[in-house]
Amino acid sequence: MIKLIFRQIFFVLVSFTGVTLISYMVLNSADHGANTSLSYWQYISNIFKGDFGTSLVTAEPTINSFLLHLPASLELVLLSSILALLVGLPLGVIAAKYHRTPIDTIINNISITAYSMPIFWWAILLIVYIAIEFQLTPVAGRLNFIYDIEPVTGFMLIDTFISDQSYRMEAFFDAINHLILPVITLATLPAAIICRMTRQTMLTTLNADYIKTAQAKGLNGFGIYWIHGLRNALIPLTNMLGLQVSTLMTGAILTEYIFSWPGIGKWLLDALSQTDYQALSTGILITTSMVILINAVIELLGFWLNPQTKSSKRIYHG
Amino acid sequence: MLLQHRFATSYAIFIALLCLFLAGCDNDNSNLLSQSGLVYCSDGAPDNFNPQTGTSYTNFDASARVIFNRLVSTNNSTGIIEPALASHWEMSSDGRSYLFHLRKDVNFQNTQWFQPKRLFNAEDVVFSFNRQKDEQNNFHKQASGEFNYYQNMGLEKNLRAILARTAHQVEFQLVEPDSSFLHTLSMDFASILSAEYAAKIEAQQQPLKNLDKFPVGTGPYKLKKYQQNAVIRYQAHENYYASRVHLKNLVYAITPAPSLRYARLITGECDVLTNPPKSQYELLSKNPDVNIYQKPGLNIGYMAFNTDKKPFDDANVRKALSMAINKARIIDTVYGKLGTNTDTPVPPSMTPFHNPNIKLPKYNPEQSKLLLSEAGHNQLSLELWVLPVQRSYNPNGMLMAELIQEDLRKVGVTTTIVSYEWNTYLDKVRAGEHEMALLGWVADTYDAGDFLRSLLGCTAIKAKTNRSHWCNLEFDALLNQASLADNIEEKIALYHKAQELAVLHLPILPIATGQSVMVANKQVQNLELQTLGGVSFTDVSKVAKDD
Repeated sequence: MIKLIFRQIFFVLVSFTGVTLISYMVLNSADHGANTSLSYWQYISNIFKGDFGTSLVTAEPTINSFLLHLPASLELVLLSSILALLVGLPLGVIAAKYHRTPIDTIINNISITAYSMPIFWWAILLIVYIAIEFQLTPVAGRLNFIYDIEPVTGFMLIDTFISDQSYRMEAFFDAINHLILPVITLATLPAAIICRMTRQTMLTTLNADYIKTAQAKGLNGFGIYWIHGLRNALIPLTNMLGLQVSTLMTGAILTEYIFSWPGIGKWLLDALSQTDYQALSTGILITTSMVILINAVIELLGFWLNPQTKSSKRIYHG
Repeated sequence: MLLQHRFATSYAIFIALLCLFLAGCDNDNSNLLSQSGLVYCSDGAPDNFNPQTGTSYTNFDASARVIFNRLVSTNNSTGIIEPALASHWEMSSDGRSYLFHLRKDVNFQNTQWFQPKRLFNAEDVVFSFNRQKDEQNNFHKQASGEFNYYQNMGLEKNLRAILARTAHQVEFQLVEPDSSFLHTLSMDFASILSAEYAAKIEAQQQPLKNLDKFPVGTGPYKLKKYQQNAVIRYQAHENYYASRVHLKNLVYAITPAPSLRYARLITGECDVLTNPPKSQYELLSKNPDVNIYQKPGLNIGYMAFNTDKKPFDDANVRKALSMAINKARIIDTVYGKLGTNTDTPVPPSMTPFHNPNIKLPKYNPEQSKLLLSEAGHNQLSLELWVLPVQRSYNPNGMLMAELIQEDLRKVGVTTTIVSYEWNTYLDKVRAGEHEMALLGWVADTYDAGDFLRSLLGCTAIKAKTNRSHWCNLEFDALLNQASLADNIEEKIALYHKAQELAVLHLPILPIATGQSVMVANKQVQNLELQTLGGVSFTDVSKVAKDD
């Protein structure tokens, strides 16, 4: 295990070096004439000191505006991931359980449709019908403009809840209302992927010998599917989910753009349209590093879950 | 089996709770907060909150019309100058000096960044104008002397001095008499700032730009918070001198995309928007939940003939070309309900200065052909320049140009359409490179001279706003008499005469005046369109949703 952790750290460091090299080159090749060119080592040591440079447009440290926009993105991505898991995982298990029945076919068709739907088109469809036609949700933004909520954590659900304004609960529900469409938009693709992967790995797992042994021992349906089946199916699943983090990030940029969601994605796109290379390179550097780190952590998690790499009494082992 | 039940049950409860949560969000209407606050979907972010340095409507809408007042104001329906911060005034017999008597009961706003210790007085007036006039003033230097309106309105040369006679009397001394002087003082750039606040900024050695970033005025709303490029929050000024302010909160939601403004209005996130594009205007006019307010703006879309170039130096050719153009069709196709015809260079909305008795030569292609051949032009090949942007005075320049091209083809004139990027276009037109050009003008004051002098005056050729380069001494004499006229009847008569002359010579073909349009949901009460453009929420209130 220790060896594995070191291997991951080494892998992260190599990737990080690569990313910083690229962002350094982007920064220096861009003809903006703002800062006299730093050497790569200065650049790196500045980054470790927390100095990512100042924006060419607002003249503020780019790291500040990054951190200002980060919570909005995290709120969106976290809630979408939770929704994707809540929907995708059970559907995948159900499809596997009812393999080759109409239920399986229906779930399969839904997940293929959701998987192949372009996010832009799906979002606009949701806006046109749910927001404009039936007026169930707002079209864009994080909170109705009328509410003046002081950002404390940057997470709107928390900030509205802990606010001392008399309308805090009203604002809290309004924040939820604003989350519905962006979260559905962003969760759709990962939910479909999770559903399909869960179904696939479940089917493989259920055919394994130890499941058959368990069945022979007389274990009932629930134990088979949810404990033996899903627990073991989760192992390959976590590894594959790690790869989905970058998909989620890309989706988040598009979602933020469509719903005027003031997160990192919108911030990056604004920086791009204003040719603010300093902000752009900061944004790319940090988001890419974040994806690398998350992948590493998930990979470790996969090792930890895998009974072949860790002896644990909690795991039923055929 | 028990375990399976427990899992399934908890999952079901979780989903049920989630649904309950989401359902809870529906009862957001008819609460007190949304009744006491109004959200305006504005189309751009202001550069600061100072109307002295600003030149754009975005700036004035966010500063002059909410935070500040002026000495005098223009009545929105009659256009007559009325008292504001000055209760009354006297003009000296030679017209070179104005003495303003100030109100003694005007409070400046109490804000997070400044708590006024005294009421409004003459010092504030002197400071507000000296900032723009006095090159030694620190706040003048801080703004790098960029006071465009102050300079454009001629005050730089004509304002000799501003003197506080007593604590509540201010004298303005002019170099030359100016009959539009009161109109000038009603303009946004003439807003009154707090001298006490400026002194405090200097004394505390705060950055001088704080004066424009954290404004303090006497107006109906005070600034609370500005989130760059996103939201401007105002609160009611509880001691506003002129009236009780009904809305506790006023919010400008900065929304540059027209489609998002539209969607936000429909879904109730915004209460008001302005100047929707034609397609959205048509949808909104069918929507039972909104009120549309509109009236002709103080602007004019026109076509200039460059009289420096042949054959446009010939008044008969200009007349013939004007007669060939089917204006009724242009107004129908290009403007629809967003514009009205105008036959003179002063739009009909500017009553009583607009001369309603003047008619342009009637649309008559046959007569036009005849006139052209009489002038010796059987084969003409001309250039028509087109503005590349959408403006209220011309919502679709290219379409208009194509219609004109087709009309002129019918009388044997070949037209080439020319267009450049907007700033290049303006530069080239200012340089006089054009032949015929589609252009527009928006008034800043309620004075016909604004249109006539800027578009057709001889001096305006040098100032580069007269794009026909037409100079007529009789016409200029009429304008000069009008600016010196003692009474309004005389002034009206002179302006009417000047319009006759302009239509007789036709250096420009007046086309239409664009509508100012404001759309608001039905909860919004007492919204009034501003004749001189921009928005004002001073007297606005909101009622509960009736559903």
